[in-house]
Amino acid sequence: MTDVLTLTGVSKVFPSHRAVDNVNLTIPPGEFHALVGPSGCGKTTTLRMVAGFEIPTEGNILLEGANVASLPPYARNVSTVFQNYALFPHLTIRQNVEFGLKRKSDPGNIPAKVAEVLDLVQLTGKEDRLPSQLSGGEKQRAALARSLALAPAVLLLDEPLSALDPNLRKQVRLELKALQRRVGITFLMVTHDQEEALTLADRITVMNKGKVEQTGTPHEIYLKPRTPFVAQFLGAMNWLNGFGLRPEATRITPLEPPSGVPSVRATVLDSTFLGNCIHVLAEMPNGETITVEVSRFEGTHKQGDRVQLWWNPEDELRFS
Amino acid sequence: MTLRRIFLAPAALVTIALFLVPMAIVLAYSLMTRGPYGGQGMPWTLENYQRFFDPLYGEILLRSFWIAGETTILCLVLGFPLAWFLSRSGKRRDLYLQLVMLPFWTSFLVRTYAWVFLLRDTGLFNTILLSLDLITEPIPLLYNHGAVLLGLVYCSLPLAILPIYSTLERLDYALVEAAADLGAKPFETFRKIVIPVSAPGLRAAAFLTFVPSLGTYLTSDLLGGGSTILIGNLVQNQFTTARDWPFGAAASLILMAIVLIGLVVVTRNNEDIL
Repeated sequence: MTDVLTLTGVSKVFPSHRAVDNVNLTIPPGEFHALVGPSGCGKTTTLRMVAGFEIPTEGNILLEGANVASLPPYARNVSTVFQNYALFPHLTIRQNVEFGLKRKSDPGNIPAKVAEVLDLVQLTGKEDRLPSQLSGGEKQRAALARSLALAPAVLLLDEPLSALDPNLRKQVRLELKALQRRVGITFLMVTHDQEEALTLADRITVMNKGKVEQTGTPHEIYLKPRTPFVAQFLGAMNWLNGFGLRPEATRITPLEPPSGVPSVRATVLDSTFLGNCIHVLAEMPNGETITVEVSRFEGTHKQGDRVQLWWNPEDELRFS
Repeated sequence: MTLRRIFLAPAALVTIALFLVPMAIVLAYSLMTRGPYGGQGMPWTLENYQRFFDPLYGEILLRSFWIAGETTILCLVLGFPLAWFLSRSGKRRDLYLQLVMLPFWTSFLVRTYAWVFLLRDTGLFNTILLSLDLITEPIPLLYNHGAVLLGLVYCSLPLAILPIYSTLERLDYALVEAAADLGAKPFETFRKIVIPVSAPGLRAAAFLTFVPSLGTYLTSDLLGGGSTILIGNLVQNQFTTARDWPFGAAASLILMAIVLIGLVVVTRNNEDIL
């Protein structure tokens, strides 16, 4: 038994639709795993089945080797950080953290344990506040502390950053990753944000219409997507006849392209300045458009400019 | 006169004419002396209030509080699961809410009389039980404490369900899941999370059932048949058969004072009520 969490052939059928369809997933201890996909792809239902809020219609969920698929939430060694945090509004932060600990720790150890996790998420000094007296970021950390205190086999995170404002989100993302490294607990996170998945996760599972499209490291998922859906979902994509090409792998030149590489003539339609890069929209002779991501150090391209687009053949993404 | 005052004027006039003026009259009557043939007159006196502290009336007051308390507890215990069911019933919720409100479409008096027809010796329940040979003599279902309690619970239950429903409807279900996630079994989740979070609705429900039950006279009259005299019946009797308006006025003011003091005590620490 090396894997902390294994899903085999897990399906969930609701009266109206099949939300999760034969999902297989294996997560080794200490991994930060992200479940990504568009809304309605079954990622949240999958997470809820691991948590115990939904019982799978078929399949097994092995947690540390034991099948927990039909156990209620309170009998599973997992803990969830909810999207809107679900902190108990009538309890202080300390009482929120103690709520789960009281059942797991002997009473003498509780104060030290509470202090330890609140220190870990930098909430020392806010123990006696009510959740309504905390900022969004603090609430998120309080919810994390409440779950971490139980030292679960797997910590489940349901869109943990989506309720934060965008500026805060990037900072909290880094903190979350650092925290996971430090505590060494296995994290299973659901997100619809591809950038979040790429930056946080050790491995990513992309889901679509209840099925797993691909599981792999961010590198594998981004550079070797197995299906057009995966390629499209993580990162932008240009579709040329028969293959895909990332905008940043597409090169643009007003001159002749290097010899021996594929190229195509195009006319610049538009150029959008995004701060760190520029997106040039160009039209190919067949009327299709292509987006090219260039650095501002590579010169400027105005509407109507005649250009050549080229790329390295190994950057072509082909799907069988 | 500002526009604001013009718009407030009708409501203010109604309040003064229909609430404050009658209250002042009741207060004045309660301080007068009963005339030899009923009615009221001079001199001013506090005797009506002193009379109320007779043990006889104390017993009536205690009985009223007791039955109002029983009604409240039963309404909360019965209303909570119903309100929970309503708040979680999805698309059918509006239909069920209408069903809860349905009794209000008919007169309170008619509904209470209906219970008389159901409970009396020749009523539906006894007739069925007799015809099934389950009993040989009618069970005395009517004209006792239980019948009054039944009538009060029946009338107050919708008033208890609605405020509880409105807090449960706003209850974030993730809190229930979070409690289970942290290891709490269903009953513990209910006790430590659901009840405290829905406390404002429970307090409102308790008040909306307790106060009208405390002052009831119709239910106790029709279903209690004079066997259960409550403070409401006492007041009513003073104004009708006893023809002692000053004492009736004093008794109703004492009841009102008790309710108001209770309201102040409960709301002082909980601004969320009602």
